[in-house]
This record gives sequence, structure tokens and C-alpha cells, in this order.
Amino acid sequence: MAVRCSKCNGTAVIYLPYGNENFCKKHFVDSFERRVRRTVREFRMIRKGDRIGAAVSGGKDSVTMLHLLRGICDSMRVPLVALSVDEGIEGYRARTLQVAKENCRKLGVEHKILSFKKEIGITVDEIAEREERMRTCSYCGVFRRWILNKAAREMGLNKLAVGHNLDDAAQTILMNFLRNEPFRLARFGPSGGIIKHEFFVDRIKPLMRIPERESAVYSIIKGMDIRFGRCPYAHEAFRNKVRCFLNDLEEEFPGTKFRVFNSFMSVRDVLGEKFNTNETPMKCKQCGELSSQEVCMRCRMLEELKFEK
Amino acid sequence: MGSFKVKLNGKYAKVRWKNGMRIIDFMHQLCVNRETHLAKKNGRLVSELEEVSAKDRIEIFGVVYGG
Ligand SMILES: [Zn+2]
Ligand SMILES: [Zn+2]
Repeated sequence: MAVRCSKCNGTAVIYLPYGNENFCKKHFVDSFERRVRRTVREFRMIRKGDRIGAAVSGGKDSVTMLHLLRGICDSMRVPLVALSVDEGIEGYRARTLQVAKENCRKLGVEHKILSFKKEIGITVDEIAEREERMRTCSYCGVFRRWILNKAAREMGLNKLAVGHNLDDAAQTILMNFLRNEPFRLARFGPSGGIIKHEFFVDRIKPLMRIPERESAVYSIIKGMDIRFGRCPYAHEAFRNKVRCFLNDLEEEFPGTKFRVFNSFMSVRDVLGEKFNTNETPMKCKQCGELSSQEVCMRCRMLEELKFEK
Repeated sequence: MGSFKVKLNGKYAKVRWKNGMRIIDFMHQLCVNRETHLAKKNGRLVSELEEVSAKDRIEIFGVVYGG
């Protein structure tokens, strides 16, 4: 006997343990899209007059986000551009960039690809030749954020949407808690930026209330042709532990990830008041981008890499 | 109790099967979490609460990767 949709008696494609509901394709897609639109509205992520950039890696979350943003931005007459970064990872990035490209073409969204080689002068494969795995990941993250922020601003975009989902959020919240990083925790959230500055493009996270497995299901139903692969350099030992811990808890106590997120949201304002660094960011002496120190992290890292040549 | 061949991330794995078992029971036997894995029955994406009959083709695949 097939499991039936809790709404229409059609064949179920997914079970949502936290709501104890089964959904058919149609009712899952309806519910998924409604939740994303609600999140966008609730945190006022997109307003009239905005120009939105979407960071699209070609993975399930970012491509799913792009599909939804397309509809939301169109209905609000807000321009949307997709940005992808080619870090130069042989045998991995070409395929995901192709997925990003193909989905942008299908949706009619302008697509800009930025490369590490051109913007930074070095690829991730080249960094990996001289660095340990863990370091490679840190370089990659800093360089990618620098490239995206600079490109988005130069293209006149005022917000950059990223595909962070509920799993990412619950992990980040718990990690900051476990590491006793209240300042970092206070800066985290569904919208806004690390810092407030006209030079910094605000981040928005439309999938913040979407469990990761649901974004995978949505991408399959919508035929996005995603491979559920991982970056060959992926190395985040602590996050992996926290991810497993949360998934185990979620399986036994459905709704745990939502509760972690909601608990954080209910104390976020208080955290923000208490743990505000009131730092005025300055412009990096070398590249002119925003920085908390005279020379930004990207430029310091580049310096290290040159030194180690 | 019979044995059943499941495709797990593209490779065949053996699980115990008896009438009335569901995909989630296979997931537990294979030690995979439903938070990170989805299932197809006879090529169609299904709820993991779906029952498995002797002739079904079951595929379980990971969609959430560490790191
Ligand atoms: Zn239905
Ligand atoms: Zn700099």
C-alpha cells in the first residue's frame, strides 16, 4: 500500500516527521514555496527598489533558491542576477557551474561567473598544492566572500541571497554556542550583514527555514539535475560532528532543528544589544574593500601564500 | 524473515526483510539517517514510511554530505 498525502490522498513523495505529515508532489511544492515566501516577507528580505544578486554554486540549495527568487523578484519587479564563483577545482566545479548555467538559462536569469584565477590570481587547486586541507577551506571561504561582495557591489546590487538552509543555521548557532562565540552568534541571522556599511552588500537567506533534505526533494521534483556531491576539499571537522549530532537528535526528536533556530531568534535582539562590537569597519589599505583591520583577511592570506611560494 | 537487496548510494547492500517492513526499517538496518537520505521505490521518490513488498526495487541515496 502506497503512503498517501495528508492533504489530497495522492501518492506521497515525502514524509515530514516534525509535522507528522506526508505530502504528494503538488502539496509538498505548495507548502515549500509558501514557507520560503513567508520567510522572505517576515524578515523583509526583498523590498521595492532592491537589486538582488543570488550566489549560485550549482548545488541543490542555491539552485532551489534561484528558482524561488525568480518568481518572488518578478512579482515585485525587482531585478535578479545570479553570481557564481569558479574556484578552480578540477573535476568538481565544472559540473556544478554547468548546472548553474543551465538553470539560469531555463529561468531567464542573467548569470555572471567570477573566477579565483582572475580575481585573486590563484586557484583552489593551486592553494591545495601547498596548504593542508583545513587551510585550503579557510582560504577558499575568505576569497569567495571577498569576490562576491566586490562583484555584487560593482554590479549595483544591494543584497546578496545565499542558499543557507535550516540545517546550516542550526549548525552555526550550536557551533557558536559550543565554542563560546557570543559576538559571532549575535551577528548571525536570516538577513542583514556581518556589518552595516554602504560598502558591504547585505546578505539574505530565503531558505533559512527549509530543512536540507526538503531542498533536495524540491530539486528532484523540479528536475534540476543536481548531483548530490561534495567539494573534494571539504573539511570542517567540527561542523560535521555538530551536523551528525543534530541529525541524530532530529531523527529521534523531530523538530529539533526548528527549535534550535527559533530559540536563537527569540533571544537574538538581546544578544545583539549585549554583544555589539560597535566596530566601525575601515577600508583595506591594499584592496580598498571593507575590513576590521588595516589590511583585510583576503590580502593577508594572499600575502601568506606569496610568501610560501 | 528473508533477505532483500537494496541499492544504497549506487551499491547493493543486503538487509533483512519481512512482510510489512517499511523503507525506514531498511534505513535503520543500514544505519543511515532519514535526515540525510531519500528513497525511491521502483524508480519513484517516496515517503520512507512506504511498505516494501518482495518484488519492489528500493534505492536509498544520500543528499546531505558532510563538509
Ligand atoms: Zn496532496
Ligand atoms: Zn584587502
